[in-house]
Amino acid sequence: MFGRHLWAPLRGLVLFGLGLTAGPMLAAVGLGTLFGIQSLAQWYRDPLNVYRTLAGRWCGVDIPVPYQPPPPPPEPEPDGWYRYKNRLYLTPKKLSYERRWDWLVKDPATSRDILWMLINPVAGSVTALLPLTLVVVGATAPWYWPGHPGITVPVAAATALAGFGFGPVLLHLHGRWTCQLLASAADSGIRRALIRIGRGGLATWRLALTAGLAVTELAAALMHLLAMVPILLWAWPTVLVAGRQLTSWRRQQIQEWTGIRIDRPYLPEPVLPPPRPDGTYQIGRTLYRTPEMALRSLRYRQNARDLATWRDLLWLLLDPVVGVLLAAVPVLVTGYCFFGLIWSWAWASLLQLFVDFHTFESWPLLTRGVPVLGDYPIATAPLIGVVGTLTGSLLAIPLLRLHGLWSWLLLGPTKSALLGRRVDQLTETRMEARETLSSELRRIERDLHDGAQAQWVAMGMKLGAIEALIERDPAAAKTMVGTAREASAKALIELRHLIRGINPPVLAERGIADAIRGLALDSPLSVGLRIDLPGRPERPVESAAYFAVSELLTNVSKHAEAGRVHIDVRYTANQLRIALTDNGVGGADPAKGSGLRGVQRRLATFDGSLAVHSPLGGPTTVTLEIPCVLSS
Amino acid sequence: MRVVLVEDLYLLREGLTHLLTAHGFEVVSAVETGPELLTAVQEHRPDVAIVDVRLPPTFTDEGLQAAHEARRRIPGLPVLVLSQHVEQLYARELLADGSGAIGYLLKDRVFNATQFVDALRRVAEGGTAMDPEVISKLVESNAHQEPLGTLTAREREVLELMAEGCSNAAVSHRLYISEGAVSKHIASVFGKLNLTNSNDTNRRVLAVLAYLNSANLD
Repeated sequence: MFGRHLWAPLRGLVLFGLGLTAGPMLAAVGLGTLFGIQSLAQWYRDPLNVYRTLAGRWCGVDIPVPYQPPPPPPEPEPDGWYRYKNRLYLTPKKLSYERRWDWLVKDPATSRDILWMLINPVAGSVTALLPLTLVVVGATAPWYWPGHPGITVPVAAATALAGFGFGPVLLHLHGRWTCQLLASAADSGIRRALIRIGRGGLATWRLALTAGLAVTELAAALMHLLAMVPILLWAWPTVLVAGRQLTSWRRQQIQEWTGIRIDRPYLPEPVLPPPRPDGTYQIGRTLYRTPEMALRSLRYRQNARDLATWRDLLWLLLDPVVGVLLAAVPVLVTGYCFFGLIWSWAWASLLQLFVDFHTFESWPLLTRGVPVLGDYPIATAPLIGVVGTLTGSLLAIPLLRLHGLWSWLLLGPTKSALLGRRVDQLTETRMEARETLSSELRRIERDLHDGAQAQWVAMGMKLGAIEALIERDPAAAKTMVGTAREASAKALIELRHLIRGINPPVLAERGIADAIRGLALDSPLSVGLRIDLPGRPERPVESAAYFAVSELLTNVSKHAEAGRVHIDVRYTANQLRIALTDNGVGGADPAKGSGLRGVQRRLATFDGSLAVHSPLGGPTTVTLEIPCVLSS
Repeated sequence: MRVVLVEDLYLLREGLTHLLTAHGFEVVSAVETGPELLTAVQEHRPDVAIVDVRLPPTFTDEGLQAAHEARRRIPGLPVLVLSQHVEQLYARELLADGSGAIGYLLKDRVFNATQFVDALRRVAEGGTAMDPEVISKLVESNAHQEPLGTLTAREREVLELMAEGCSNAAVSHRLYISEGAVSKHIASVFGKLNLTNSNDTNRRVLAVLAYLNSANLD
């Protein structure tokens, strides 16, 4: 009954002591990440799980282990190689290494663990240590502050008893706090606030990185300028490619960090003109003997003409200044306030409990170092620190976004570049559409020629024979009439198949929704349907979507080893969206299958897209989207 | 037997009229569009209506819609739908009300006049006449599913002919087996499909098709 109360101060001490491992944990994670040592970066999970278990048991709060299950061992490709991105490996080592990093970093529990390591020594320790502190203070007070025994002794006794009495409650509070960060519990206000703070911290860190990258960017810009000196011009393409890699990487990073999408602005690779009759290549007014030289010259011209080259250069020159300016305030304020005022105050206070050492006096980062703060008592340091940290890190979020917007201004494509890209894309899809159309016409012509037309020729010949026989041998003529009728029936069947291939009757009569229902009925698979379509798309779009679904269903029954398919058809945001999900083996890849590529190409004519999500082991979801308007 | 005919192609309309007259039917009205069909059936109350799927002005499935509407107004009106192509979807829709007296045939079945007239009679008498192409597709797309997968090849043949609307005698004739063997196969099919007490030709086909219907739409 009283066991809980008796044990609470001791348990609080143990939890507090375990909580102190946050420092080494943080160091391990940092070192592990810095040097790419997975086991080191992941090591903290075991002691943290012990903490979870103990805190859960002693504080009366259930704290389940929130980590996602580790990735499965990599599967080799059919040819026995292991593929990572666009490289093949003989052993699965690299692949599983990368997958484990992915698993570690992408787990939302990881970032919450780190937030816990940063703020638990400050915030969590209070509740864990308070019961024992009360007991110890109560027990030792009569000796340290003798005063009037009539008052001191009862107060001391009450304090000590309070330490036992409120112990379980304080521990429960500690458990609740721990649960907010260390369990994958449901969403709550506190949790959202903590996550927001965490996001602010992340933004601060990213701003710091942005400022740190300034050095690289400045170096790249200077190299670029240097390479434009006439005698060093031979190095220009190399420097340019390196610079573009840097800006492309930053584009991608900015998109990941802020969600601001920055498209590649560069002109497409130049295409070599056909050689002249004498075998030389004409670029401008110069003739080149080898295609390599011609291409090189073309690249020079193209790059110099490309506005994006100069905008990149301008960005590389200016971004260091902008980045440092934007990062300065939040990074310095947050860093100083958090590490200088809170973090070190907490650790210094802790150390002072155990060693007789005036840390506050000799800790330069603390208030003594800053003249204004030096006038205030030491205890205000964490208070100022909390306010400063919150302000700084919350300021970091919009500033990071501001940096993204500024980069978008120079790194993004200009309107004319976008138009140029659109023209290229349209040229390409037009060519593909032309190709598809002509091959379709060829197919129809061939089918007619080999099928129906041949049947009709045979029929004509039979009719001729009948004409000749009808007087001489009526019986034979009669049999021949029968075969002629059969030939006409066959010709009809051929025609029917042909029409189905060009413009399926149900599609023409009822539209895409019923046509897909018809496909579902004809499919050997068990097909579930969900169709939500308020009208009919334009006919060409309908037809493209129909043939895409038909091809995808055929694909599924051929390759996926699936038994069930679910088709979801809907119209949202001016797009016809059709998703096919099967329960097959997965591993579908447009890069490998010509069928999926074909569908992609045909949809491209309508600015449509095809997305394939197909992990090994399934399930596969293929989603196609075509922008269109509906008629009722 | 009195027939109402709707077909937009003049040649086919005339040809069908001649064919039907020659086989002893009375074509009381031969019209071109869906609305005309509705007035004609209400006026003449024919024994059977022959309907083309595509009709003016939209040339989509107007005939089919008209057929549904006609059967809504005159429940149980026997309708034979003729089409350039046959679709499972349409067959299922036609059979949906379960009252029978439905036919759905390819237009080229007209080539074989006796079979066509036979089918028409069956529909007029409340039976069912599904095109063999529909049946084979139905069975094909359901073949992987239990318990249809448990049918033997012969049982499946019998089932297909039953669904086309053949009587036991017709099945025995088509498959060159005795009528006793046919009823044995049918009994075994019903057993495997869990269908009980279906002696009447029309109902057994509907039962089979209704079963097929439910099997693919789980």
